[in-house]
Amino acid sequence: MNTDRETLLKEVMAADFTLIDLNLYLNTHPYDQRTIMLFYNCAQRAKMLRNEYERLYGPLTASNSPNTCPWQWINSPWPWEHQS
Amino acid sequence: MMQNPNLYPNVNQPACNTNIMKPFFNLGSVQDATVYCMPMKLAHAYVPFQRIGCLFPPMKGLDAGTIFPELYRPYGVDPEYTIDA
Repeated sequence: MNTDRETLLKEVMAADFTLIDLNLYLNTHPYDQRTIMLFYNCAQRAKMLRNEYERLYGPLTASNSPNTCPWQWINSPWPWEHQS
Repeated sequence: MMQNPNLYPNVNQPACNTNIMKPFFNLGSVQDATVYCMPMKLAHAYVPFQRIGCLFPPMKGLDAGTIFPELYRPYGVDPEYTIDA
């Protein structure tokens, strides 16, 4: 059963993937103004989704772990773990 | 020997004094890219430059492995490029 967490995680992955592909395209088309704007919007969306995930389910990476005590990163589930 | 007409003055022309390689104009759309060619040299590969069109939405792009429909060509779908299907 795909939990909300896994659904949101897949959306974060999809948003990042779109960024990667647009980045590769822009590397060979640096003067494509329209795509640069699109890349910027997609980057904002990816950040928003990532923040949303971390607000609800905890840090996606250890470096995003808040400076609260105790150390949050070790809380399960880790992002890649499927909840049984 | 008729000198090849210089159709693309601002593009540095390859040395092409023979008429073997005739300049190609608009070759029309090859699969999914309009190809404008300057005189082509033998034993050279020519790759049409990608021009952005529409994109897959993120979720579809993640599953397809690309966000560019023109680059999406999974193995086994196109019989011409499938041997053991």
